[in-house]
Amino acid sequence: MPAAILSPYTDSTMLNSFRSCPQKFYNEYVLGLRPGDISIDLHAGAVFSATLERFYQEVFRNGLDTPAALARAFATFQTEWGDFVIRKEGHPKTPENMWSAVEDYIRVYPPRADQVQPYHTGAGATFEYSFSIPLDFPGFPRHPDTGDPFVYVGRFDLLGKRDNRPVIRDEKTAQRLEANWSEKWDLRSQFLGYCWALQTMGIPCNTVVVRGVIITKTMIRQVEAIKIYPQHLIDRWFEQTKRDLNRLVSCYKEGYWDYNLGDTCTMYSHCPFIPLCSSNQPENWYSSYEERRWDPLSRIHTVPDANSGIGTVSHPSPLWQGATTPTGTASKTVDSAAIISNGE
Amino acid sequence: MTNVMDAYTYLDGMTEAQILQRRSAIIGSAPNGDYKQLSDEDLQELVAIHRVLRRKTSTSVPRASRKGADMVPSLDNI
Repeated sequence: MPAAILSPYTDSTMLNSFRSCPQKFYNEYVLGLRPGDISIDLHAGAVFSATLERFYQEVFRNGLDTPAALARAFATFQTEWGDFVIRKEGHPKTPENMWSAVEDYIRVYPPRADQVQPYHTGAGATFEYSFSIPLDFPGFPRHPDTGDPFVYVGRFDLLGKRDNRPVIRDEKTAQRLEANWSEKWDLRSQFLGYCWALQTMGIPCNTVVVRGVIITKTMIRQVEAIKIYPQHLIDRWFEQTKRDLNRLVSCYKEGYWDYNLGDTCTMYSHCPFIPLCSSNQPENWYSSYEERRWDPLSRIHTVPDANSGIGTVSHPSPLWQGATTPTGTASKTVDSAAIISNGE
Repeated sequence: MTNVMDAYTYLDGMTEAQILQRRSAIIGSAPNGDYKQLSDEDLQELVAIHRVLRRKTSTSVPRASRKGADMVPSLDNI
């Protein structure tokens, strides 16, 4: 049986999982169970982000023009994609389409003319931005094993400025443009948490520019929504996070994680832990999963260290600081489409 | 702005098989197949190859009425 480890680090992905179903959180983030296949959506999204980050570094740090920066980003793209094989037949996020999506993104948002420009801190222009903040505030629980505060971590694609105001920019790749795509970010706890984190670090930010990169079999489309979050929503996120963490610690101490037994079980092509929840002896099913623990700092699943039984993760440093890595008003302001084709 | 495609117009005159061969040759020249070891020129040529291949294998008809539609993203309009 995999070890039950409650990570001291938490992020919006983990908290959303707990909110939707504590049992799912337990299986995925405490036991570290994952279905054998790595999600193409997660992989493609990570490759896309890494590629754009390299592109922006070449443009803004090294002063390259777009074609030269794009060529270097191509190397990053190929390296990051690696030998990943798409198991779902006909999935649109092929490496060819994903690269075309990168090119199309840069065509629609030329770096020097983009309304969102990198934010400059003492360390220079910022691109992908990471933070880790100890939740050492009144009412927040301590980690039940260590007594230390939990640490809220996050990472987004760009800390930028728009109209001279700090904004967060985050890209979301998707296979279709939902009718309510723009509205779906109105209460997004991920973004509320980013704003809270920046405000906590002294950057007065309440705006997120969400860029959707829609990749279908026949077309690439760029859409954008600008979300301005009122302070009461950001405060509400903080309060809700406190309550959720207290509930989470209660589940851990009690050793019982509640079940959703509802829509969460069937959303997004069904929860991968249905066999566990359906079984009277879930431990019999553990061997059908891989043990890969979510590292909220790098936003990837890590394979446990064979010696320690604990996932090999890097730890944030310094705490309380945001860092750039080397590596509500809704308005759709851009909506362009580029046809892609694979001879289909 | 440099028009990278101008530098690789010869690709348009190649068959798909020839282009694939050219791509393999470039990738094969990288130590351990590591793309990061390729020169900027090689990488730019690979990007150009990607575009030409996509154009050559394209059979879809772009919807002309679609706002901002482009058959293939091109460095010409980046």
